Amino acid sequence: MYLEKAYYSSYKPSKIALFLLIAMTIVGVIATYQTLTKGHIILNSTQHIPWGIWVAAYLFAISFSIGAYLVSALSYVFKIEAFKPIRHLSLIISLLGVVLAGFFIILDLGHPLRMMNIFLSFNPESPMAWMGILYGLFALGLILQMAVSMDLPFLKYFGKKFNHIDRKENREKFLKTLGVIGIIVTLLVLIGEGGIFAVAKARPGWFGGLFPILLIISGVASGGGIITYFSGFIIKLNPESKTKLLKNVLNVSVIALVTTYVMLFVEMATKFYSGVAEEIYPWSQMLFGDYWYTFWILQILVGLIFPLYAVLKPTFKNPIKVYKWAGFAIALGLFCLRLNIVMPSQANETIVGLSEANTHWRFSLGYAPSLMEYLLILGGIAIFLWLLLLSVKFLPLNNVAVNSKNDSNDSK
Amino acid sequence: MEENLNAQNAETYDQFEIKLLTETADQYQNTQDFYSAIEYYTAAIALDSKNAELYHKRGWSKAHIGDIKGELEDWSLAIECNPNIAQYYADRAIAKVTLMDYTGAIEDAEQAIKLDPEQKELIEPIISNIYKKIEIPEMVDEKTGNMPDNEVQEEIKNWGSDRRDFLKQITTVGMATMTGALLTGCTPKTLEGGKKNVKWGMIIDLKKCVGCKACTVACKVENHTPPGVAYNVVIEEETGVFPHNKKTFTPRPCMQCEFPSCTTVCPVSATYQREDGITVVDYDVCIGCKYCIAACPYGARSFDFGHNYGEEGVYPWEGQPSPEYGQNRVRENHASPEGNVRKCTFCMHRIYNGTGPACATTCMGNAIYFGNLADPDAECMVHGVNLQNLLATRSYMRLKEETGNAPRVYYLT
Repeated sequence: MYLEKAYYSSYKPSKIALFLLIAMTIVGVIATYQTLTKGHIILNSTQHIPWGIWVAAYLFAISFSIGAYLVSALSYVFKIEAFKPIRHLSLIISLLGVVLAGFFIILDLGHPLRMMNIFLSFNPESPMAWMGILYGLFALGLILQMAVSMDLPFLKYFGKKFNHIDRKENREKFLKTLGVIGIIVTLLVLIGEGGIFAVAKARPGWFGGLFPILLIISGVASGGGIITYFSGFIIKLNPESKTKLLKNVLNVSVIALVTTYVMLFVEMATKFYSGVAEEIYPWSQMLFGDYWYTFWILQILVGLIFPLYAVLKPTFKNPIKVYKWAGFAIALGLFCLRLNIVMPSQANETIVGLSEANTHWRFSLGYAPSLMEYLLILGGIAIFLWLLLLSVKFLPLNNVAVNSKNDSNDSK
Repeated sequence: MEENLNAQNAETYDQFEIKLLTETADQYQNTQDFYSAIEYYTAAIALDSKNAELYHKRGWSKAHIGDIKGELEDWSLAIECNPNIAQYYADRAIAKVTLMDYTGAIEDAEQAIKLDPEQKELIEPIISNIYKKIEIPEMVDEKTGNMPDNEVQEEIKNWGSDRRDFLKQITTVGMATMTGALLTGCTPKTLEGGKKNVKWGMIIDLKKCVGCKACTVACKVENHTPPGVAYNVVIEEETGVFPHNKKTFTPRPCMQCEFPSCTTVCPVSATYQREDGITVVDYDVCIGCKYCIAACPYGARSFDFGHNYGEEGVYPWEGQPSPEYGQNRVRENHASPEGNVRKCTFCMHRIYNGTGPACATTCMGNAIYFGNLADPDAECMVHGVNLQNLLATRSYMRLKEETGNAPRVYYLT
């Protein structure tokens, strides 16, 4: 058997963590039930801001999913040994990201039960329609790659087709091919996903070529951040190897993060310099609007400066903990970036005076998520965490090639 | 003996109370307070549940507040109590026409004539109107706006040898007409909208618009849009400094763009442009993703979040079927159009009956012109002015030309 070094995570959440997880699950179930029975009347989104926090969460989930996949490709395609211990975890996080994104976006539909219309009544002109197809392909490819890489028993049901990959070298070759195809699909997914926003000429903050590129780069940053965070709990290695591993993943994540902010800075600088009011508006809202703290505190202070500090400072007393939380901080900061990209661009009136032409609050320009919207976000996170706990318990996490002598030492 | 007297007294007392309640209800009905009238008729019915006239009167009150289902129920109850009154059948026939139950309407109308042949003159026009209406405008293909060719028209006319079969088939395939026109007997002035070379468009004279917002109200009433959904709004803009200031009012219906942004982005092709230029939404296909709202440069689309005007539940008139798309949908139980994106259709159901959009016909300043912009000789459907002449002789603008959407709503400045 090829996976001679396979192991399953022995991580068990603390009682407080478990209590919080159960509480999040309960509120998530309530919010899901409310959404399905009462419809979108429970949302605070408006006619000017039709896409609220769920769409931001969806965007975050899909981009970290793809980012995690690209991080796994460092091992599968580019054969960088240092990333081998996290390649299974990356695939798991990537697949769960797709599940999470699906959960948010399906509930954000006015008629969720009609989601199959994307395939049944396909519009080839729509970027969103292509996303449906590409997500499907991506998820199927992911499952196949996981099955082959983890040697999951269900592959046997496919008969002789997979016999030739029993040998290690064949398997690696096959995984590399899958990885290359996967990279192409993921790039298409992110270009398409960014395209949804990029083609919306009614929203100057989205319209343009930046969005798809930004989504790819920031996706790698958030995917890397999330992998770093969960590796800290789940991956079994001696402390020294683990520190090295987390630092490596964090480095990749921070490079992508800095690139993201450089691109953002260039975009903002050109907009502010040009002085076109409707193009400046979304960015000025992000910097100085009602939710300024999400940018300055959560994005910049927590999401950029802290991770930068973590990778630039050579030593820490407890480096694993620092790297772990730096990964979390990157993910949190980039979630806020998604919010700040999705919201302010919509809060810009398409025609001046339109928001005052009707007195109903659904025509106002303000938006603050409702309680149910927040609760559903918690519910989504709970689903992700439950599935992650189950996955790492029942799916093998391979750690070959990194200090195999010390594999049994489980670091905290 | 004493028991009999008590029973008689009780009966007399009940009758007295019923009389009193009915008189009060009648008074309310006469003073147009139909909600109170219904309340009193209901109290009287509680004491005498076999009184057909009480049901009939309550049905009338319900008809006045737009509770057509309630009205139909009451007239059915009245018929149950006394099946020999022609008037009850005649009234129920009209209610059934409103709910597009044409077969039932014909049955009731014929029963009314059977019971009271003297009413024949009154009732027969209703029947003939049903035939007349379903034979003309609904032949327009809902998706393309085209008239079927002559052979198909002939086939539709000859479809089913029996009149009732014909009606049933027509109803089944959804080729129905607008209720108002059925009742008023209005005939379409034009059928040119059915031809491929028709491009419906609107010309709004900003100098004539006084900002009364009657167009907004007319649109709401016509399309039964709930709170938080508006197809046509009036944007106000104030320029200058007092006392040298002025206000500009810009009514904003859907621009019915030649190159719409909304249709291309729709992932499920639920929103599309018909050949007559009107962009429509198929409520049964729309998944409610709201992408079209995000893509529309004019903010002309609204998501139906499910609000109602009634604080607890819906007002009866909110449960009335909406004539939008000629579908007569009733908005209930979270079904479409709730959860869908909705938009102005230039009152498509009206224009194919020759009446023009509700906003154009209601505008007190005659500021809204409407008609076929593809025909150089076409006149405004409402005011009879040559549309191309208006554009040729007045200066005009279109909103957000830079988007390349080429709106079919022109503003005379």
